[in-house]
Amino acid sequence: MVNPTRVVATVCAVAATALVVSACSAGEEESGEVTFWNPLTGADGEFMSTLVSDFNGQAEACVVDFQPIPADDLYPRLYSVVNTGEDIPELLLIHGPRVTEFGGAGLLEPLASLQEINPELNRDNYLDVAWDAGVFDGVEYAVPLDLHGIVTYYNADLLADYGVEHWLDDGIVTTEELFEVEGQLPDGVYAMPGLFVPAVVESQLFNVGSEFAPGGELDLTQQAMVDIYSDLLALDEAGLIAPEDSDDYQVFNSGQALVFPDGTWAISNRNSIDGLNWGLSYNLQADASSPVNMLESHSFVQLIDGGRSEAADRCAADFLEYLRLNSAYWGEAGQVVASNVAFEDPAYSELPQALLTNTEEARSTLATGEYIYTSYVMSALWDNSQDIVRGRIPVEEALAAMQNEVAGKIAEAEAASGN
Amino acid sequence: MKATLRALPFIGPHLVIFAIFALIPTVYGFYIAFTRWNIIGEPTWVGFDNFQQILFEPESPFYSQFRSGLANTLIFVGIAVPLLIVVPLLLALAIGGINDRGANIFQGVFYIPGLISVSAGALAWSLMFNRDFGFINNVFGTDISFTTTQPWAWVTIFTLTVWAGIGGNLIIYRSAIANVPEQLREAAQLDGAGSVRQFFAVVLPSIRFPLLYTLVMTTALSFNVYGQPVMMTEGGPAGTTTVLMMDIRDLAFGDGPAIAGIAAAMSVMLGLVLMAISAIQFRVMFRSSDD
Repeated sequence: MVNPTRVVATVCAVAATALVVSACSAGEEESGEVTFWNPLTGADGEFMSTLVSDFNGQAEACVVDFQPIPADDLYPRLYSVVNTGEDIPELLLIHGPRVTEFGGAGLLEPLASLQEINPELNRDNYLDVAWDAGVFDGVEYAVPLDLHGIVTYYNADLLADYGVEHWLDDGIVTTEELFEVEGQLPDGVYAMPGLFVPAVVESQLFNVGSEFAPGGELDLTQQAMVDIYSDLLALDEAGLIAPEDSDDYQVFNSGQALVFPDGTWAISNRNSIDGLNWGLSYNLQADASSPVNMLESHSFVQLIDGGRSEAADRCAADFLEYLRLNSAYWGEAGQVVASNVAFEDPAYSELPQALLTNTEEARSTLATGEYIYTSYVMSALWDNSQDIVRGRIPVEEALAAMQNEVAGKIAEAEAASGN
Repeated sequence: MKATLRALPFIGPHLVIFAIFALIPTVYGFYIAFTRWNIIGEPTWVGFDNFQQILFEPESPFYSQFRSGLANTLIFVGIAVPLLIVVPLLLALAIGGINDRGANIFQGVFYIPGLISVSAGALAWSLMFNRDFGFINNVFGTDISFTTTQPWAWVTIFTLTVWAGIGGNLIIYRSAIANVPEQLREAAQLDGAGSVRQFFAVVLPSIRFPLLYTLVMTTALSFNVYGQPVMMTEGGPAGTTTVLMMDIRDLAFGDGPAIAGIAAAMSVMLGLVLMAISAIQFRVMFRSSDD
């Protein structure tokens, strides 16, 4: 027989407990979880993973889930989640050119919402050129993490051996200077490996005062492009560029090349090579009088997502603020950190890449491409540069084909987006 | 009706999987081929414009891209398919002459590469073909830049393809050859046929169905070649090993805004070529069975 008094007492007890529990819960801040997609799959991913762990260790009511995805998979996956509206990450790290691409397509959340949570996420606290990479059509979409790109590594011992230490008198190595060792190098030693020729070409185009689309019109057949490629072709014909199928990293690291246009991201790896007396200078220039270092940013953005919670936004803003204040460690990954706080850190100014930011003059050499179709152009450069530089296709013919290819893609893209 | 209902539980799972992973994407792909789409917004219907561009407009970059990609794909199919039929067939005949245990060991050795990913296999072969420290140049005392000069670039691709692809066909051929009636061979021997004559007069006609099956399947797989040229030559030198699947992938999922309509139109054309060739092969197969 059920005792009615006992039932009522039990129900009251349960109700009271529920009230207490819910009251306690209401007093706690809602927990924020941030899924953080990024293309940091190499050594830099280990540095970022450490930063995320450190942040999670000190954050309250906030967890960042570090999810590195190879860039080739990351960007198609973004289109997929945007179309389905499912599994949209709360925070995303993308390459600078994608900001203009995604911003132009209306996929990105303007930065204003994160800035409301943390006003420190503003232009004044970051390197100007890095911040500008996150602005499209006058709207701020991104908080920069870093700038990265091609610089020139040099082998100090080889420069001394071949009497060309003067290349570094002005801190700038030019294509023309490389010809000075023509005929002097033994078999198996080269002026430079040619892996990053496309990035050298891009940088040199800006270096000589031009761009991919002067006046807004794509022009890959312009004389400046012809001249830059012709000089590189001449370098190869003079036997100064390592053969195409060489292991270019091995060539430089084992002391078979005087200089190597290579990424800033290789700094941490190069530090670990015993016996290599290396240093860093600006990217290989065509004209030493107006040096330009073309870089690309890693930029934090958020995709438009109505389902994202305020707690997640708060957590994302906290994480970005943590990175802003602790970026010097990121510099050890070889990147040019974007946060001004890092420049005030003595440890950062000792890093090799600090040569790009340690003076106002150096900072004035930094540039990022703002052309919305830079991705198409760079893809064409990567597809064709070796054929041009190795003499398989005449310079003008290859440039005309690239112009036709990229212009065709642009026409399709603009028609698809309704422009 | 009852029989259909009884069959449904058995074929149902396959039908669902087929619909989700094959039928719906194929139909949608056909639809996209008639649209202009950047994967983000809504596709815009453009009728046959995409096909017009890739087939009839020489000034369009997609025209030359399609022709060059298709031509390179046909080169690959034209050489890889015979190799993937003949090499395993010869191996099956060769190891058929030794005892079962030895034959099984050899079969396993030839089958294992097929279980290894194309990427891993390509890395291993890239090292073998490396100009400076590769096994091949060192053994033969040559100084060939295999992946950047023709015809060697194709040679590296076919080497990887045959190495990875012979195992499956080898097993089919071994099984088929083992089922050739012994009395037919003996009769041929009594008539004075040597081993070559026996092969062409007895073995080959007896295994024509497995042979045609592998021909059709190998052809279909070869038209979809992608991993080998990407990993071995990156489509070079001068685009001479850039196959159509590489162009399609680049247009749909490469750098910059997607050009999915053109990519889908190229896919449809590739599919039509494949269907036409498969139809011819099936016709030959059924004509053979009528004989």
